Amino acid sequence: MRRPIALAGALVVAFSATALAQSTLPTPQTPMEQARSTIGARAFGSIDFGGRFTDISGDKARYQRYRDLRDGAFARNFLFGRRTADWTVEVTADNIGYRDQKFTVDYRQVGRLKASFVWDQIPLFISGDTRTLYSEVQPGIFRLEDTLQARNEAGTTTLRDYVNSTAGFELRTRRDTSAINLVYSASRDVDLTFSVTSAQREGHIPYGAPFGFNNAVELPVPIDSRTTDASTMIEWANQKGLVSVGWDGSWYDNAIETLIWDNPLKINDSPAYATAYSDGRGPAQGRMALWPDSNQQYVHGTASVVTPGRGRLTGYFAVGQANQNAPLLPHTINSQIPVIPLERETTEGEVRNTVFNLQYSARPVNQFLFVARYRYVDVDNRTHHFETVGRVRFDGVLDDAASSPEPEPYSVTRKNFDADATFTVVPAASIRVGYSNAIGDRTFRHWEETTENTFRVSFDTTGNQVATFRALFENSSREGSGLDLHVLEAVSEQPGMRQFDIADRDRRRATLLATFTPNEYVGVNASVGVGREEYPNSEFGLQEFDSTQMSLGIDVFPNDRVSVNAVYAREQYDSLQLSRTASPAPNAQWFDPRRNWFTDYDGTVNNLDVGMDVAEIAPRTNLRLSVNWSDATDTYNYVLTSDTVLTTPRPLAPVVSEILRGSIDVAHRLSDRLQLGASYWYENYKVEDFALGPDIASALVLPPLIPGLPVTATNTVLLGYIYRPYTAHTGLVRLTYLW
Amino acid sequence: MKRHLVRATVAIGALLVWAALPPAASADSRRSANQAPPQTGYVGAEACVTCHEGFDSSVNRTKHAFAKDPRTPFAQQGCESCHGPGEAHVNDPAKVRPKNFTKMAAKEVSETCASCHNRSQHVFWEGSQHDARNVTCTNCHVVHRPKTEKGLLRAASQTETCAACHRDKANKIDRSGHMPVREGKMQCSSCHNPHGSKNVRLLKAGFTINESCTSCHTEKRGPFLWEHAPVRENCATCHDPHGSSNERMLVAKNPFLCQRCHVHARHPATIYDAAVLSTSNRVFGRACATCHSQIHGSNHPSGNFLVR
Repeated sequence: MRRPIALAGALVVAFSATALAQSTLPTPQTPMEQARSTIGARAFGSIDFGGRFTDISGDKARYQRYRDLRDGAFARNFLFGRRTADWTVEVTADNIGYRDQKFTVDYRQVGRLKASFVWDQIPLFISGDTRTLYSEVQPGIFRLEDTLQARNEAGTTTLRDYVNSTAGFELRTRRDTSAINLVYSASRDVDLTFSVTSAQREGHIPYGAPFGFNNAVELPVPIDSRTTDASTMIEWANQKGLVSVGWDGSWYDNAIETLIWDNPLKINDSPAYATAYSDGRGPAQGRMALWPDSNQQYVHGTASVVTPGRGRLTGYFAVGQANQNAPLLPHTINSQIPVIPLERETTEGEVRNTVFNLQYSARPVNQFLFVARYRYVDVDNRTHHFETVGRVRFDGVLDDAASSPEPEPYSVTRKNFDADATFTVVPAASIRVGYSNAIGDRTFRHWEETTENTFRVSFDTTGNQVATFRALFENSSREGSGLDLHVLEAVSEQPGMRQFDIADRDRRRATLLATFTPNEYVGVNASVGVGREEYPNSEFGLQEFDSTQMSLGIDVFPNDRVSVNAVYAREQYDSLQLSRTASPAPNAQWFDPRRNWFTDYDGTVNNLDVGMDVAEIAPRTNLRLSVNWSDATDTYNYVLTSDTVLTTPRPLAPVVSEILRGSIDVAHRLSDRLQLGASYWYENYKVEDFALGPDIASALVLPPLIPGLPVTATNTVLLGYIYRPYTAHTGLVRLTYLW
Repeated sequence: MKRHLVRATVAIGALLVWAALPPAASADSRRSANQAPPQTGYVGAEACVTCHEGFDSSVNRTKHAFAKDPRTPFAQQGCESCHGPGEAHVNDPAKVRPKNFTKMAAKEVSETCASCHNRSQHVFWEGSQHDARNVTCTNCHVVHRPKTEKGLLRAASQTETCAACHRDKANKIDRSGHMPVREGKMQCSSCHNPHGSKNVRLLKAGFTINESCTSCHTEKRGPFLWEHAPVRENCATCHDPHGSSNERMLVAKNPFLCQRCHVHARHPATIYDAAVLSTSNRVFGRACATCHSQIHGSNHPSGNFLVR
C-alpha cells in the first residue's frame, strides 16, 4: 500500500516541480498579438464578417431574451487599436446593425488622460406572440371598440365572442446606454474624474391593470424613460494616504406617467358601484399613475491614511437627497364618483440620506490582521404627511375617510459594526474570527428596531499552488424590539405574523471550498454550502428556510493543445410557511388554529457545465465545445393540521424548468491574417408551470394559446405572455481578419 | 439595419486608413523623462528577459509597460518594481530568487500591488471581505499570461473567475430568469467591486442594496406616495439578482412569496390549489401582481393597495 502512495506523491512533486520551473512564456503568434505586445508599433485589430441562420421552434423571444440572433450578414468583434509610447486608442464594435450592437472608444494619453465612450444597446425580447384587444391610441392610452364594451355591459355578448379580434404584436423593450468617462491626471498624485451616463429605455412590458377583485386585465404598458447620471470627483492619493471629494447626480425622466385604459365590461361609468370590488363592472375606464420623475444627488468625501503597524484608516462620508415631485392624479377617472379633494397637487416626496463609513485595518505582524468597520446609513423619508379624506378602489368603489389609510413614508437607520481578527497559524493557513452587530431603526414597521449579532469563523489556506482550502461558519441571531401591533392590525393582519425580512431570525451558514491542483495537467475543485434560517417568534408567515449547495469540478490539461473542464452542481432549497384562512376578527375563524395551513416548498436544481478546447485538432485548426445543462424543479405542497376544518387541497403540479445548451466552434487559420470559422449553437428549453403554462392560460387569454381549446373566462383579458418551451438552432460562418 | 452596416463600414474603412499611417511618435517605451534612475541592486528589464523569454512582450501588452505614466512599474524599475532588485539574482540565480507572486503570502502580494493600485476602485481593498480571507490579487489576476486583455484575468471571463469560489451564484445565471450576464451585456463587476466597496456585499453603486439596484432600475427609486415596506428595505428580499426560475427573478413563486408576509383575512391567506387554478386571478399568470402591479410603490392618491 505504501508504494503506490509514495509513487503518486513522487509524481505529484515531479509534475509540480516541472510546472514551477517554467520561466518562459510563449511568444505572440498572430499579427494582432504581436502588435499589441510592441509599443510604438502599427495598428492592430480584428473583425469578424459572416452570415447567421437561426431556426426556432417555440418561444423565439425567450431564446433571444437579451440578444438579436436574426438571420443575415453580420460584422462583429471589431477591434481597432494603436499604441505608442505616448498614447493609445482602442475602438470596438460588436453586432453592428443589430438590436444588441455595442460600440466603445478608449483613448489614453499616457500618464495624463483616460477617456472612454460606450454605446450599448440591450434588448429585452419578452414575447413574440402576445395578442390584445386594445389599441394604443396615444402613448399610455389604450382603447377598445365601443361596441365591445356596450355589448358586454348590456350582457348581449361576452369577451369570448371577440377571440378573433385580437391583434398580435411583439412585446419588447430596449435599453440604449451611452456613457462618457474621463480621468485626467493633473499630477502623479491627483486625478480629476468626470462621467456622464444616459440610459434611454423604450418599449412595452406586460402590466396588470385591474378593475376589480375577480377581474384581470393585462396591458402592454409603454416604457419611454431616460436616466441620466453624472458624477465628478477630485482624488489625491500617494503611498501615505488618500483624500477625495465628489458629487453624484441622477435624474429619472419618464415621458409617460399616466396609464388610461378602457374597461372591457363597461361603456358607461357607474356611480360607486357596490359590487365593483368583485367583478370589475364599475368604471368605463381606469387610470393609473406610472413611474414618476425623480432625482437624487450626493456629495461625498473619502479620506484614508496609512497608520503605524501596517495599518490603514479609511473614512467615507456622504450626504444626499432624493426628490420626487410629480403631479398627483385625481383619485379617479370615473365621472360618476364625486371628486375627492387632494390635499396637495404634487407628491412633495423627499428622502435625505446620510452615510458614514469608518474602516480600520492593521497587520502589526505578519501573523495577525485586524479589521474593524463601522457603517452608518440613514434613509430619512421626509415626504410630507398626506391627509386623505377618502379613496376610490379600482376606479369603482368609493371609500370614506374612516376606511382610508394614510401613506407611511418608511425611514430606516442602519448601524453596522464589524470586527475581524485573522491569525496566520502556520505558513499559508489562517483562521479568522469575527463579530458583526447590525442595528436597524425603522418607522412604520412592526418592529421599531432590530438587532442582529453575527459570529463567524473561517479557515483559509492560501499561497500553496497545490491545494487550497477555505471554510466558513456563521451564526446569526436577529431580534426585534418595540413591537407596534397597530401596523399589523391596521391592515387586518394576524397579530402573530412577523414580516420575515425583519422578523426574529436565527441563521447558520457553513461553506467549504477545496481545490487540488497537483500539477499542470489536472485540477479538482469541490464546494459545499449549507444554510438554515429559523423564525422562532413568527406565529405566521415564513417559519424556516434551508439551503444546500454542492459542486464538483475538474480541469484537465493533458497537453498544451487540449483543455477539458467539467463542473456539476446541485442545489436544494426547502422552506415552510404558515398561514390561516379566516374571516377577520371578531369572527371565530380568525382565532381558530384548525384553519391553519402550511406551504411546504422544495426546490432542486442540477447544473452541469462541460467545456473542451482543442488547439490544432487538424493543421491550423482549433475546436471548442461546450455544454450547459440547468434543470430546476420546484414543488409547492399544501399541508393541513391533523384536526383541520379546511377542505383538502388539490395539489399543484411541480414547476419544471430545464435548459440544455450546446455549442461547437471551429476556427481554421487560412493565413496569419485570415481565419475561417463556423459555429453551431443548440438550445432546448422545457418548462411546465401551473400558472404560466399554455394549458391554463389558454382558457384565460384571447385567443387561446393552444388552438381548439375553449376560452372559459369572460372577465379576463391577458396578453398571452406565458412560459413556452423552445428548441433553437443557430449556425454561423465567419471570416476573421486580423491586422 | 443596412444603413447601420454602411455607416459602420465607412467608419471601419476610415480607421483602417488611419491605421496604415505611421505612428506620430515611436519613442522607446522603456526610456522616458518619467523613468526613475537605476538604483543600487537593480539590473534593468533587459537583463531579466535575457533568461525569462517572452515576459517582456507579455508585459508590453499591458498598461504596466507605459513608461511615460509615472505610476507604472516601467516608469520606475521595470520588472524589478514588482519582483524586487535583481542584481543578486543575476549573480547567483540558483541561490537568490526574486519575488515570485505564486509563492508569496497573500498579504505580501496585495501590498506589492497596492503600492500603486491605491486609488479609485481600490480605496476600500484593505480590510475588505476578500482581503480579510487572504484572497489576493493573483487569485484572480495574472500579469504575464492573462486570459483577458481587460483586467488581466486568470480565467477567460469575469464569470469564470468569480465562479471559482462563487459557483452557486454563477449557476444561477443559467436559470430561465437572469440578467444579461450570459449574453455578455453585463458581468459580475457591473454590480460588484471585488476590490472593496463603501456599500454592503461589495456592491459598486450606492450605499444600500436598493441604491445599487435602482442605479439601473431608476423608475423604482421613488420616493412614492404609497410605499411597500419590504421594497424600501431590500430588493433582495423578493428578487434574486443572480437568477431564478421564477418570473422576474423572484426568490419564490407567487402567490407563495407574498404569503410569506401577508396572512390577512380573506384573499391573501387563501389556499390557491389546483381546484381554483383556472378561475382565480390570484394564482394564474403573475398571480398577486396581476392586480397589485404597482408592487414597488404607487404615486396615485388612491394607490394604497398598489393597484393604481
